[in-house]
Amino acid sequence: MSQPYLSAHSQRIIDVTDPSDWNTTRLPLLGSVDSALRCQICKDYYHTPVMTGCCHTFCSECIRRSLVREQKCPVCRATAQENQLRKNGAAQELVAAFVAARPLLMEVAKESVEERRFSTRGEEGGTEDGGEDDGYPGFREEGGRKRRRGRRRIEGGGAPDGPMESAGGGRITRGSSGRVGSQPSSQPSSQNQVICLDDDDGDEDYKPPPSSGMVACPICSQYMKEKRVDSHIESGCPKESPASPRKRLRGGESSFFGSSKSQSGYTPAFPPASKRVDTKPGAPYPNPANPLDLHPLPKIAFNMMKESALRSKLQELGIPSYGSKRTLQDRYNEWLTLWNANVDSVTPKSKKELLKQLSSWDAINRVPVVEKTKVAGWTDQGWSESNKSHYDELIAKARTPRVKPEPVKEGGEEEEEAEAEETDDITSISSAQMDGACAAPTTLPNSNIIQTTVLNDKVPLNNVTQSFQPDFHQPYLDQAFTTALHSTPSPPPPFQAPPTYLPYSHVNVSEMFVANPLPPTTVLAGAESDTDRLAIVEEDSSLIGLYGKRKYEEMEIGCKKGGGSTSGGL
Amino acid sequence: MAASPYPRGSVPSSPFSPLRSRTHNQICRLQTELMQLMMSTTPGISAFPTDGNLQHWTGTINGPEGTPYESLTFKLSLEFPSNYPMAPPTVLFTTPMFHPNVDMSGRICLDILKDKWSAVYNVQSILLSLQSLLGEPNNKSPLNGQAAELWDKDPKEYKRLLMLRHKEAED
Repeated sequence: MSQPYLSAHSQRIIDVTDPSDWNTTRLPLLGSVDSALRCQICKDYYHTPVMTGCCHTFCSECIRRSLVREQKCPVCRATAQENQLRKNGAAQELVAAFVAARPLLMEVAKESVEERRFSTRGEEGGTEDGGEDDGYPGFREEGGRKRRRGRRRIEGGGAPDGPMESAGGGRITRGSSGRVGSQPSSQPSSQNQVICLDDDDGDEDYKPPPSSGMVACPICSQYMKEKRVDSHIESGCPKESPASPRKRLRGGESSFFGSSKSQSGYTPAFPPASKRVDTKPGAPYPNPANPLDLHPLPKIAFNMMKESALRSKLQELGIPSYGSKRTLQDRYNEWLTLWNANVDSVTPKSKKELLKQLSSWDAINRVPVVEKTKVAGWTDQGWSESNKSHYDELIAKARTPRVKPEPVKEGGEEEEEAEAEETDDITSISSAQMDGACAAPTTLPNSNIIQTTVLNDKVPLNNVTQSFQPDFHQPYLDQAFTTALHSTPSPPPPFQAPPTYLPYSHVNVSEMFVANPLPPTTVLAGAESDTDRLAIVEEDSSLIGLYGKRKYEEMEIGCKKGGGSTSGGL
Repeated sequence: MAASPYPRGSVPSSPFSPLRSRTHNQICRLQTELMQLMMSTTPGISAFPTDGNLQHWTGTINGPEGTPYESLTFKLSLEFPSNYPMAPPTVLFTTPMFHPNVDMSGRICLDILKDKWSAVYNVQSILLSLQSLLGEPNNKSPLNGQAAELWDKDPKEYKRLLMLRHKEAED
């Protein structure tokens, strides 16, 4: 599509329908009907409408996404919870009927205006209606799931396009008013559907009050005995054992929207054991129209869950599991929204489609990846090979047993020493930018490495390197930085194992750096002054850990004083 | 991360590059709002995307009658976050403004743009709220103390300073 952006854009604007479309027609009052059928969040027609506890209706996806952020009704600010949401079947039918009838209604309403005013120009209203049935392929591809849905409905009614469409719309309207066409959409065979006389189609999610003192977990909505709730929550909402009778007791619940094969009428009995019995115990309620594997996902109490557990949970669900814990949480919540809204839907999408949606969410919310700075002709492999001797040397130096520092230095000699208490954690400088592909020295640790080496005041500060490598899956330092700042810090090293200050007292670090220039990402640029340096430390204090920060400040102070105080261990 | 975690070909690529990072919902919603604003022609307010970028709009408010702002026009910039309408847009006055709840760089202190935001608000309701804020400032938590003080005490001086400030825009 080589169309310039703007023209494509304006073209699509025309396709957007709005209640105010009716203002210019003979039927301006239909505008309020139109707006009453729209979700207040997305301002489009209800898509899988659900009702909150305060009786406001929204699209399932919209309200779920809103509730993730704040558990309040967006309209009246009353407290609302996801497990209070109930499907609004009446609204769904109304929308379907209205969307189907809209083009024709609009045509009629406009025609009569035009006939009256400019009797020669009858085709004016064409653009407005065009969007619905013979519009722009580009738009239909990407836009308007609701419009697409409306269109399917029309086709399902046996009137593919054009003027015949009125027949489709009319049929649907009749069908729904008579409660006959239980699923007006996408089922061409709906003519011979079984008539379902159910009196409660608005609430097929209805959860019967569970028998004998069962209560719902406030987090994941599973039912269990009241006394179990505390321990259940504390253990991070595992699935309750199938024995607990939290079943939904409505086997034939799919009366209204259900697939045609199970439509032999309302069956208030227990479902056949083979099908229903706890294929997924976590599900608070079943969805009639969905195949058995579509069950709502429970919420997770993220505080109770370790990052690794969360990660494996995401893997289990088949969704991407990279990123910080915060990212994982957000991604799970988004997936929860998409999934549960899909479970509510009459025409659920495939998991692949949902994954597609999730991927576009990910694309927006991913912390922008700072492209790894590439020096021309620089490769990890080449770098590590050409500098192997340096690394080996450094490793060898680091491995040598720690030499007790001289307790007192000569005055004026501002040399600070950092010590490594644990030789296990010894690393070499510039390990930070080496990712997996690089033939890094074998002793590189993978947990937080804070390495701070201060020589003296005269050394240009750019030579002072702080490198750290938190245990992130993204290999790049900058990204690790940004994600790390938003995430729970990795557990600081145990107190007995303080940060790894290396015994570089005998190494002239600045010279070493000259001989061994680091790739640009390693050195924290902008550390022009002491304050800057401190600011960096402060900013990353969550990562460095309290101990490291304190130590660093001590060293700073020592440095400024010019006193050659040395740290003699703990 | 060499391999994409998503199935091959599933990552959408839109031909509309400015919209590439927007999900369908947001595009749809912003388009609807634009449509609504254009069709309804509420007196005194208007807004339109800047440079065809749906993420960034420019709005205009006419000062309400019977206030010092009468017959003045103010421009605003509205920046929509990627999770709009779940999060409020960032709204700034781009016309220099003299008002108790607007600071010198145009930032606005209004609860519905902060913690009282709700997903049901839209551009129209924001602009209308701002318009009414012009006539009824909240002098209890001012961003511009001088304006808050003068509002009640010395309307003439208020008007003078306002016009002085407003003139900067025209120069």
